[in-house]
Amino acid sequence: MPDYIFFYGLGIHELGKPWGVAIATYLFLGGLAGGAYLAGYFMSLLKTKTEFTRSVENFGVISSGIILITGLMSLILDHPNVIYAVFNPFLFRNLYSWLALGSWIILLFLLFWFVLVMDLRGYIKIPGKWKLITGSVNAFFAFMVILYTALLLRDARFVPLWTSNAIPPLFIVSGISTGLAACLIYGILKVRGSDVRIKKADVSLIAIELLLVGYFLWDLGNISSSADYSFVRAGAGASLSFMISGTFSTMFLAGFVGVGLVLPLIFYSISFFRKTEIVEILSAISVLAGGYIFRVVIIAAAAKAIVLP
Amino acid sequence: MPLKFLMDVFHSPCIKCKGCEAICKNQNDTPEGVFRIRVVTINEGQEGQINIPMPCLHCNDPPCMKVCPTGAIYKRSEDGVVLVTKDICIGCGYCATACPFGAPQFRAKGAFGLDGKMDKCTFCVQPYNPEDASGNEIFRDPKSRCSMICPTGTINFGEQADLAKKLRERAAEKMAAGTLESIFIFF
Repeated sequence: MPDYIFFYGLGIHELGKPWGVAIATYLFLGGLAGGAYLAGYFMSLLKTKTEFTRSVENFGVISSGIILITGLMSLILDHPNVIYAVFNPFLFRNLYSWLALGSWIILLFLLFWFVLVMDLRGYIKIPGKWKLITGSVNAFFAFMVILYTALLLRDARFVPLWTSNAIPPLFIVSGISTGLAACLIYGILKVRGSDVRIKKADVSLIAIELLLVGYFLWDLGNISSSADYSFVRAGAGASLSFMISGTFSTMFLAGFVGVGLVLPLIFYSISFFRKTEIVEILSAISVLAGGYIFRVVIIAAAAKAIVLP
Repeated sequence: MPLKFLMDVFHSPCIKCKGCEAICKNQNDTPEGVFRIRVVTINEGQEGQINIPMPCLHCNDPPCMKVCPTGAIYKRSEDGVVLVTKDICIGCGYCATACPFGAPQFRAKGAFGLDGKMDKCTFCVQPYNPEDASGNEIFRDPKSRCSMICPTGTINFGEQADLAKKLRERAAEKMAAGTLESIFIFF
């Protein structure tokens, strides 16, 4: 007997409430914010600094909080009652829930970010050693913000797509990669130059991402064929066919893998040999577009099957 | 003893009369678009078509309760009924992604967003608006109307041990007659 499938995302659903594009936007901006902060933080640790690294350092730190707040706005637009929790954060008291834990992580990240921005803008002065400590602690929170966007999905254990072991590393690598891409765009536009280290880092992350995508598809195929329960197999199989040959295959294969991973690799490769700003900007934009499409597909292709004995 | 539903769709097939949906709406005043119970069909129009009434099954370890960030979902210790404190529900929809049965319901409200408060089957303990005119929370005796009206006996409601006994008796009858297909039980 085929299992009854519940589809979530982008309006295809039978029961309950879907998470749609607004949640995908929130997850993307969360990853981008964490990535941008980490990019800025790593720039601050470099020994040989240039005008480019200095501008990217400031941009990464300052933009991260703004991007994250924009993501929260997207969430609130979709789920207006969440605004009550913004005014009363102590509502988030079930710390077994990643949504509650993540909210506290975001709050702590934004507090540290605010202090760092005050320092960067010259309103307060943090001594050098303490500035490094504050920045490092917030780098940890930035990493946790990215990780939280993946673990948030993983808590829904009846959606096999979201429980794949590939999702957390994919979200982390994609988040940092998009953050680097955003910083690269800003740097190129601001100082009309770039840094080969950023490009090399982004190329490495994209290569890792491609490997993780392969592992992700293999893992999902494995779940759909050999999971213990029929409803898990059915849900994983439905999600996989959605992404490979079904409704969202163009978005996943052409949008995420093609535009988001393969195209920037080609563009970056060209830019190593022939330095053109437009190619570098295009590659970074492709990374950003791919990262967003990836989140949309992950939400849209999430399927779960009715639990049958 | 925990109260449970038993959906016996093989021994007493659901005919999709939707009486359960109608009486649930009437009893609990749920608004348009909110279904505390809904009949879903597997293999529609094909061999092996089967209808299953889907309410909240008041799990022993509810995944919705685990993921709820505000702790609005709780399980009553005395009878195991899973209820929602609507005052502190923020309508994030996390419970809907976690529930394997699609039980959590949200009322749509305009182009953006939803009404916010999650609603689900309460064994008819609480209506959609859980407060009376003077603002006190309503707690009625758990007595599911859907099981009362079900004409085929698909939906059974009661204490877990009684339901298990009932199912065993039905299965034994079918086995004696040589017509036992499968045991389909939701606890």
